[in-house]
Amino acid sequence: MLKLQDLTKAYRTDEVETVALNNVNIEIETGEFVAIMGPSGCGKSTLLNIIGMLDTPSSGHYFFKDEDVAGYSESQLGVIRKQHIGFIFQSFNLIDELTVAENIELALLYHDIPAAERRERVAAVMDKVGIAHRAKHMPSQLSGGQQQRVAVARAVVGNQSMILADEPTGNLDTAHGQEVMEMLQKLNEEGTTIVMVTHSPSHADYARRTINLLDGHVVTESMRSKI
Amino acid sequence: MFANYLNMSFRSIVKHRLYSIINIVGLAIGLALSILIILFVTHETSFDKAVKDNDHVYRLNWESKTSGARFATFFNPLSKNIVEAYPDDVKDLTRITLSERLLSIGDEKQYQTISFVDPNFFDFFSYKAVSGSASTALSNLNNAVLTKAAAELLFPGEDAIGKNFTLDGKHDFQVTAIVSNNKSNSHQVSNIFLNMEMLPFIWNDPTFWERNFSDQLYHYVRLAPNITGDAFATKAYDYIKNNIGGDFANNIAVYAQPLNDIHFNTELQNEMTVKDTVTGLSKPARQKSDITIFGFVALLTLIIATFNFINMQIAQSSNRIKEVGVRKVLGANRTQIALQFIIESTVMAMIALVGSLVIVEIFSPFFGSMLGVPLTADQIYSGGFIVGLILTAFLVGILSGLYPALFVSGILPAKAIQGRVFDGIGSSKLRAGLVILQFSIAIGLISATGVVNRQIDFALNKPLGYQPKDVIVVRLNNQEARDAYQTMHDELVSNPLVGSVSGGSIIPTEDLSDGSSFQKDGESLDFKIITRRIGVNDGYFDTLGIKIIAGRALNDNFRGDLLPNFSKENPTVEGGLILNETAAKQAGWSNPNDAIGQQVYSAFSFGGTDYRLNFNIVGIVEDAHYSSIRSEPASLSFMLTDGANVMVVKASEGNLAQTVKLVDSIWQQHVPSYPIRRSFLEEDYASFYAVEGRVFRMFIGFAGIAAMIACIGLYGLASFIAERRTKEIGIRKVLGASVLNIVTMLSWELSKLVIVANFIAWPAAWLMMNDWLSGFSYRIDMSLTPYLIAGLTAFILAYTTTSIRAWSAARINPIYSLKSE
Ligand SMILES: Nc1ncnc2c1ncn2[C@@H]1O[C@H](COP(=O)(O)OP(=O)(O)OP(=O)(O)O)[C@@H](O)[C@H]1O
Ligand SMILES: [Mg+2]
Repeated sequence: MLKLQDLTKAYRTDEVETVALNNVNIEIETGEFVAIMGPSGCGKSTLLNIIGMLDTPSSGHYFFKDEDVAGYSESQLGVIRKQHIGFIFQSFNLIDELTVAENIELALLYHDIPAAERRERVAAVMDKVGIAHRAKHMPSQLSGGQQQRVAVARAVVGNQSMILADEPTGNLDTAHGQEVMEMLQKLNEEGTTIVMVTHSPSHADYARRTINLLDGHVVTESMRSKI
Repeated sequence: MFANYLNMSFRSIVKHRLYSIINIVGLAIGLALSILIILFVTHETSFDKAVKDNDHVYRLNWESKTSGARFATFFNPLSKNIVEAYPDDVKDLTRITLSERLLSIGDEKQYQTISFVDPNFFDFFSYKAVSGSASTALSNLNNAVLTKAAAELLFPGEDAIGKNFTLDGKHDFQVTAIVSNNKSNSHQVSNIFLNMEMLPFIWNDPTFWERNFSDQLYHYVRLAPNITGDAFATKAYDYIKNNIGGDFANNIAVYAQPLNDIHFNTELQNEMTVKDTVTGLSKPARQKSDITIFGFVALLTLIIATFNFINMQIAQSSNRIKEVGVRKVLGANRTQIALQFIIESTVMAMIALVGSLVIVEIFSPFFGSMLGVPLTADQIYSGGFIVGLILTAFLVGILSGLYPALFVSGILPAKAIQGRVFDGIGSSKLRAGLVILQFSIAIGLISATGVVNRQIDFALNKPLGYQPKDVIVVRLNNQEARDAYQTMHDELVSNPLVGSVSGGSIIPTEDLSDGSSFQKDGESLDFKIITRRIGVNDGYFDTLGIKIIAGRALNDNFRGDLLPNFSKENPTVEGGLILNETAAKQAGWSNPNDAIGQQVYSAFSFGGTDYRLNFNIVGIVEDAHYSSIRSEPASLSFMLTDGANVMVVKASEGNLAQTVKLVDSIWQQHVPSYPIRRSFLEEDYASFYAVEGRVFRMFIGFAGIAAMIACIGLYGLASFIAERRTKEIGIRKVLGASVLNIVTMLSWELSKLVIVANFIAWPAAWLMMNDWLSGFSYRIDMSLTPYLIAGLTAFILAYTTTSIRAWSAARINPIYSLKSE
């Protein structure tokens, strides 16, 4: 699905240059479930953002479906991103002034999908994640777990083939965290590629492969043998 | 997709209610105010523009080289001769004069202003016929033409055509045509028209057309396109020089005054009345600078409102960076985000425009009546006006959406989502700039307002030089009254109710007539006292309360005071003379006592005879204000006469009402054929200045509202900053900052911008106001006070609004504010 080659990301602020990713080489196959772990500040989010084309690398190559997108402009990236990638964030990132249904629908709004079909798909996905009864609610009226379920729904409603999740359970208690992980697992079983950043080893266990980062380097990759 | 943008725009507008309302209301009020002012300015600048070929229409003026006065009138018979002499230059000539006559319909008597015109008057000034044929109506001398308003007034509920009326009890006329009313933006105020050839009969003046030097008529010419007014004036003067010549030609100059200048010229003598007595509408001449100032206020208000709007939109956009990030993650591209912002602010601007039109619809009648101009909102919807407004709103919307559209839409989604976008969205400098500019304008307006207010107060409370209190003014508007003047005078004086009685050619608040110039034996030819001349009766100064500061008043008891009639046989005569202070200073007598006893003379030749009028200066009076507060006090000379055009009666203390009754009954007894025409000098004076005062009070109101709009914007900015910094405020509080610490910190941040604004506003306002004040002869000295007050007001307003907002932000329990991120 994607391949990172000698990928480096450096942030330049006024005085210091922070190298967030240093010579990273990673390959991810279609249908994989990959977890990314590492201490705080090691570059996990940066990596995920680059994979998700929310940010661009400073140097190196990024082959997405055999196409090197490393040098692409923001708008070119936007077109690819929109077709293939869905996101889930630690802090949910729902739009406060839209209802649950509208938040989900937003992901279809930029895809030239007729209104009727949009409604159908939103309804279907809400059923799937179990928040149909909350369709008209505002995000602020939901619990964290429910909000994250909305975010998951939003990430998949456009039939994206890959979902990137940055600490999706970071703001949730154990029970709710579990719920979200199961949802992700189910999606993966249905064929969606999932890349997830997490601090929780037990949640990383849902993934087939774990990539450990330290100071912008990939230090180990470990495969979980299928039970 | 577009429908979706609109839908999202409305959502977002509703979601951010507080901002939206502040923003829309601010812009709506600003737009409404600008529209109202523009309506007024358009009305004023469109004066007489409806007349066909108005660019080529001129009114002939003449100037007296003796007094320097220029007259709106021209010599009765001469214009016709001049026009006939230059047939290629003049396409058309028409003349008019207005005269108040006693009009009776059956037994009903009323004074009405009658206009005597050439039969082509209606075509010349593009009147429309309502019934009958106006162009041919006056070919018969006994026919009359009425405006619709006059027809309704004189013959209510009836068809006026064919109806009769009588003037002065002896001349009968029949109404044969009705024309459209005078436009409110036409300088014409006439409603009842007769043929000009009737004048010699009505005025009982058989030689009316034979006196070349008489100037009772207004003469309008429509020139050929290839000749300028000035060129024609030169030709007209040449005609007079070649055909009449002599002292007359040497003592005058001829001007062609553009029709479009009439409404803006406040300098001419013998100006046509501006009051339409039938409709009650008054159309005072405006100084161009006043109109410019008003236009300026409209522009500034619009700028303030626009900045406000842009400021708020920019401020708000940084609250939405995260939302933009989410949208992008979900597939929105940059154009879509940019469009979203632009459409949103355009929708808001359009809502504001609709709101402003509603405000204008509601307030235009009130606003118009305050300004004495009939304003209707209808004008907005005709022609380019509404298109211009819509374009303006579009422009405001697009401009204010542009910055967030360009900037926010370009933020990398990774950053936007992380909220890693620096606090002021990189534009705190830009926003500071906008706040400073906005407040500069507001402070400028407030200080200008202060200056205008002080100047108007100063001018209106300036000593007039006469005492209008308890003075009854009686017009001696017919021969019967003029003949009875002495009798009425004597009867009134002998009554204890009456303080004093006098009369004269004119009194204060009336137009000054032509002048006299005086020379002195033993002085060089350069010595000249150029004055406007006023004929007075015994007791004139006493009755009007004009102070004599040296010498004595003119008095019937002094044999030498009354100037005898001069003639070919008796060309040298002698009389007494009084000058006012200004005239005395002109002669170099800075101490008025130096003037007393001086001998001056006025010499001229006429019909081959040299005349010499000798005068003894017997007194000097204080300067009294006969004309507008804006102009210099005129240089005046007073001579004793025994006739009068106007009688003034001063009631003794507390007896005004009874004196009025007495005056009425004495009039009835001695002038039975005519109803009395009287007024109170105090009221005449007040109405003389009322319009001027009111117009500027309106100005003050506008500036106040503009300043208010600026403060609304400040409140919005303060809210925004407080909101953005909730987390910071929470942290500061956890670390021990008090509410007061926080309020001070936030308020100071914005208020210091207001201080900077002062340094931009003051010099600009100072220059503008200095220029405006230079139009007044009696003007206040520039002082710092209004500027300091304006600066302080703005600062206090800014500090208070931000403090209020900061206070409510600072009082939030940090538990909540820290959780909000
Ligand atoms: N926009 C940015 N500008 C400057 N430095 C940045 C930026 N984003 C990340 N960094 C720096 O890059 C490094 C990696 O950050 P990153 O957010 O990827 O860490 P992380 O592994 O996700 O940490 P955490 O587990 O705390 O979320 C850090 O040192 C961070 O300070
Ligand atoms: Mg992270």
